[in-house]
Amino acid sequence: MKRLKAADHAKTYENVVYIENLSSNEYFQKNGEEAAPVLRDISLSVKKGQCWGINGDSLFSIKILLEIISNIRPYKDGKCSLLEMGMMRSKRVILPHVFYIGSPGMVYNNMNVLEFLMFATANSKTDKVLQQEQIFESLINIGLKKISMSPVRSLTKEQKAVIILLTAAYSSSDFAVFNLPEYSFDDALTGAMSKIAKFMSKKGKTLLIGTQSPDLIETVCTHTAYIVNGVSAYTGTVGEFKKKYDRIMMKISDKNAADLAKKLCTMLPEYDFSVDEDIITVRNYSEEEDNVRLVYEKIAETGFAPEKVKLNPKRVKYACEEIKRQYDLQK
Amino acid sequence: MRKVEYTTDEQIEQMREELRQAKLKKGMHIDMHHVLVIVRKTVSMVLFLAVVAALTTTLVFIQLAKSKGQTPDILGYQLYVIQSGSMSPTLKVGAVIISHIPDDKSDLKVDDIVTFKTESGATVTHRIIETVKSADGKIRYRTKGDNPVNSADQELLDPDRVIAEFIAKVPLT
Repeated sequence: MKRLKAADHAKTYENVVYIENLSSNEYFQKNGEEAAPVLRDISLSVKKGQCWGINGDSLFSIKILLEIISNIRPYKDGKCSLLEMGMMRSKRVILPHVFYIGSPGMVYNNMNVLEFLMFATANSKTDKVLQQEQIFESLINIGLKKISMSPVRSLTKEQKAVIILLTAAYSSSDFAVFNLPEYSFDDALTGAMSKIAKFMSKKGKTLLIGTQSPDLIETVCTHTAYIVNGVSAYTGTVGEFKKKYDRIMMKISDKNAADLAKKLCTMLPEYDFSVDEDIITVRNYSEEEDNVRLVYEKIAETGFAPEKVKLNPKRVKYACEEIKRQYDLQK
Repeated sequence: MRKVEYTTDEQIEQMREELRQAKLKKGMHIDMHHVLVIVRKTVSMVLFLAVVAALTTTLVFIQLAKSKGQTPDILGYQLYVIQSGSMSPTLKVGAVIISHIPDDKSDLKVDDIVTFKTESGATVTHRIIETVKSADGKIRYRTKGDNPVNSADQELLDPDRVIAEFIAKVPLT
């Protein structure tokens, strides 16, 4: 009987990662409190071609979760399967079909960026000249023109990380894990990561990014998970996340913001008005859709003429703030 | 902190030019190589098919001739196996010879080796040692085996009884 290899199996799966009630071996202990697992009851289902941003209140939780998913860290309880194959709780092996990025030191300092990418993709059967042209032009197209031929040793650790991500996109691995949540990426690198993620998705590859940057999730990811105190507070699409947690309707700028907010509070009790200097943030906690027209009408009734009213296009940043706020309130 | 050494526009254009040149060079090389490969493969295939066809045809003809009790004949060429020592040492017992039907059986020369039917019906391969012209003007041949112990054949060979003229001996037989 022919034995199915992991690489062959990788072509047939639907669920890339499936986690159910997972708990970690590691514990947190806060002052005077009982020790609690860093991760507990985490459930997650990642499908082929998706790009997930794993976010949370603790860098350590994010790192541990991604290490467990990559099969390099054991876990305590629950179910965890990778490419629809179970993972042994004590196994610590990076599987050949998983491209794990846990350090920027994976690039060689004695090469330039293009040379490194050619070296990393040397096993490809594509004609070398065409391949070099393809990689070179893609570096330019994704916005990395300025570092396309720069020596690797001169790059920042974030730039190196993005170059490794591009290597993952060109590799034969079907699943890449970008586990550098402590890094913050500028707009150029975030844009490059977004284009790399789209390229990977087109090729049917799956990407998991550990990050605490809402902007990165907004720009790069299709799905997100948010872990608060070791528990998954949200898992799903980025769009749903914003819809569910970004309750900010609009921001009103006025010199008499406090007075205006007081009046609006009595007129619109279903909305929340918080004042920060001259800016009123209007939040809608009701089950109903935002009624912008109603708020405008009530502002007109108060007799105030605000200097500026800005509608809020739903953003991951506000959704993250809200989820933290909600969690603290519940606690 | 180390300063990033950014890639200049000149470096990018230079790389593009290098890639363009490499593609041009590679493109020609690929085409020539490709043509040569196709030619080589075609020639090999044709040769292989020709050899297979020749062998198959030979086998078929030999089997057909044998089934009819005739001498195998392919395009006028015949194979014979020497069964006696009369032509030794030129043709030893067991040697295989290739012969062909002569265009003009009455124009054979002295020293030609011929295969013929004797008057008693046996098939013999001997050398012509003399051409004899009879009173009625007909050409006849005197034949003899190369073996020194042989004397010349008693019967003169009538050209009509000549079956084939020797061309070559198959090596290692």
